[in-house]
Amino acid sequence: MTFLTTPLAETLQYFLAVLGMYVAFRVLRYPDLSVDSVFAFGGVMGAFFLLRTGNLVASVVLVAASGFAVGCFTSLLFTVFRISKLLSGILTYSLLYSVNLAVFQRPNIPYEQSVVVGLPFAAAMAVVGVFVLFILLSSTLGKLLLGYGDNPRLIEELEIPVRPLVLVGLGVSTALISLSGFVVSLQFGFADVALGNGTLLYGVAAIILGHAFAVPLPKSLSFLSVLVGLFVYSFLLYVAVAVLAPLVRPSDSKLVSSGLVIVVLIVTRKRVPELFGFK
Amino acid sequence: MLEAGANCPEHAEIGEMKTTRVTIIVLLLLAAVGLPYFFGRPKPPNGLHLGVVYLISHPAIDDGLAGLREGLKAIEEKAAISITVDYTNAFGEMANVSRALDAYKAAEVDAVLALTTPCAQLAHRKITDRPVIFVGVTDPIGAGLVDSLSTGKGNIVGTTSRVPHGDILKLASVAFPSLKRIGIVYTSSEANSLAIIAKLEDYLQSSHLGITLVKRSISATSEIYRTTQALIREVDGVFVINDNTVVSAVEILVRACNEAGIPIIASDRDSVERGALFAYAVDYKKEGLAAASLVESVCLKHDNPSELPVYINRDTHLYVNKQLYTLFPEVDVQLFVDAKVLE
Repeated sequence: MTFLTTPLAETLQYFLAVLGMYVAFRVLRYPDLSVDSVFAFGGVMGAFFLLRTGNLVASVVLVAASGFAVGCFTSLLFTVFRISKLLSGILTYSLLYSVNLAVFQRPNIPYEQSVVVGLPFAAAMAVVGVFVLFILLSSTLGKLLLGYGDNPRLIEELEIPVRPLVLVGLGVSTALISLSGFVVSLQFGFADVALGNGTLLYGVAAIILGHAFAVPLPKSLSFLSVLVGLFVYSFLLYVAVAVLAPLVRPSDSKLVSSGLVIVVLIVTRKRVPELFGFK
Repeated sequence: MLEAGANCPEHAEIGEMKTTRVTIIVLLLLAAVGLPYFFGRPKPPNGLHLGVVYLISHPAIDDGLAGLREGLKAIEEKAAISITVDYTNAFGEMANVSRALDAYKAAEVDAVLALTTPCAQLAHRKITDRPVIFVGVTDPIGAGLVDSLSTGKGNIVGTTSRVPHGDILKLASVAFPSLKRIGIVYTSSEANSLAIIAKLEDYLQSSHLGITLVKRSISATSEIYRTTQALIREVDGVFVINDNTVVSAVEILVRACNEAGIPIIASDRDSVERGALFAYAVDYKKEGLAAASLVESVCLKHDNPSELPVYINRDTHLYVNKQLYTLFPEVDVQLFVDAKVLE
C-alpha cells in the first residue's frame, strides 16, 4: 500500500506550498521564484519558535505571520521600487538564505525526539489551507486578485489600488509556503537551510499536471485541482524511486522521473495553455 | 483571456471524461508494470537486501561507496550469501531522501545505510523497525543521531571520520614559517564545515601556532570565484577544508593561489590531485569498509546496534603534489619524506 500512502503523505505535506504557489503563479500571475528559500525559511522559523515557546499553535501562527511579511517584502520590491516580478523573487530567494542561517547560526537543527508531530497535523494544516483559500477566492478581494492576474491594466483603470492587492496576494502565498516548510520539517525531525531545494519545480509540475487533468470543480474550488496534480506527480516520483531506481544507475533516476511525467502529459494530451504568463 | 477547459464547463466536460479515462488507464498500466517488480522481486532465502541513500555524489561519498561495495563483496564470499543493494542519489533534495526511505521500508530491506548528515537524520526519524547505519556524518552527536560515540542508540549506529585538520595546519606552519593568516572558503549551509571550523578555532587557540583564520562563506558554487579573488589579497595561504561545494570546485582556488604565489593546502586526497600542495587525508574507503562490517555484525550476527561502538576512522595519509617543489623550492623536502607523491 505504500504505493498510495507515501504519495498521499507527501501530498499532505507539500499541499500548502503548492496552494501558495497557485495563488502567486495562477491567481496573481506573479512568477515568484523565492519558493525554495521561503520553504526553508518556514522550517527554520518554525524550529526557532517551537524550541523557544514550546507551543505548536503559537509557532504555526508566528510562522504564518513571518511568511506573510516576506511576501509583503517581495511585493514591495515590485510595486514600490519597480523591480521586475522575476527579479524581486530572485532577490528574496538569495536574501532569505542569509536570514535562514542568521536565525540559528548553523545550517541544521534537529528537533528533540519529544517533538513528534505526525501526519494528522499535516492533514489539519491542509484543511486549514483549503478553508483559507476558499474564503479568500470567493470573496471580493479574491475576485480582484484574479482580475489583477488576468488583466492588471483593467484593475488600474478601475482605480483600484494595486499595491495592497499584490501585497495581500503574495503575503498569503508566502505564508502558505512557509507553513508547508514548517510542516515538512516537523515530519522530518529537523530543520535545514537546504530543506526547500527543488520545491519550486515540484510545485510548478504539480500545478501543470493538475491543470492537465481538468478535474470538474466549481470555480471557487477549482484550486483543488492542484491536489490531484500533486498526488499524481508524487505518485510518479515515488514509482520512479521505488520501482525503477533499483533497475537503473542512481544518477539516471531523474531521467526516469522526467520521462514518466512526459509520458503522462503526452497521453493526457491536454493542451497546456498559457499558465504562468508565458507558455 | 478565457481558456477552453478549466473555465468553460461545456467544452470541458466532453474532453474531461476522455482525459480522465485515459489517465486512469495510464496509471493502471504504470502500476501493472511497477507492482510485480516492487513486491515480486525475489528475495534470496539466505540473502541480504540493503538500501543505500546519499544526498549527492562527490569524491568522498564515491570513495565511501566504493569501500562499501568492496566490503560487502568480501562478506558475500566469506558467508556464501548473496547481497542485493539498492542505491538512491537524492540530487540534493530532501523529498527524494524521504521517498527512497519509504521505498526501502516497503521493500522490507534488512538494513538502511544513510550517507551524509540529512540522510542519516531522516533515516533515524523514519526507520524504527530495522537497523540504520550512518556513514560520513562529521558530527553524529550534534546531528542528534547518538548520545556518545562509544555506542549506537536504539536501531542506529555508524561510522564517522576524524580529519586531522590541526595536524595539517601544524605541518603547514613548519613548511611555510611566514604563514600567519590563512584563508578558508566554506559553504554556509553545510553543517560539517561549521563543525570543522569550530574545531579548528579551538585548536588554534590552544596550540599557539600564531595562525589566524580568515573565513569567507559562500552559498553556491557560482560564488566561489569572486569570494576567492577577494580573500586572496588578505591572506598568506589558503586551506581547503572538507566542504562538499568547495572541494568540488577546488581548481578555482588552486588557480587563484598559484597566480598570487601563495600556498594552498587541503584535507582530502582528491584536492591534492587537482592542484593543492599537500594534505593529511582520511581514506573514506575505510569508512565504507567499516560500514560493511557493521552490516555483517547487525544483519548476520544479529548484534544490537545500540551495543556496537560508532566506528571512528582515523586512518590518514600524507599526500603531496609534485608542484610543491617547483612552486616553493625553499620548502624542506625532509618534511614530506613519508608522503605519497601525486602528479
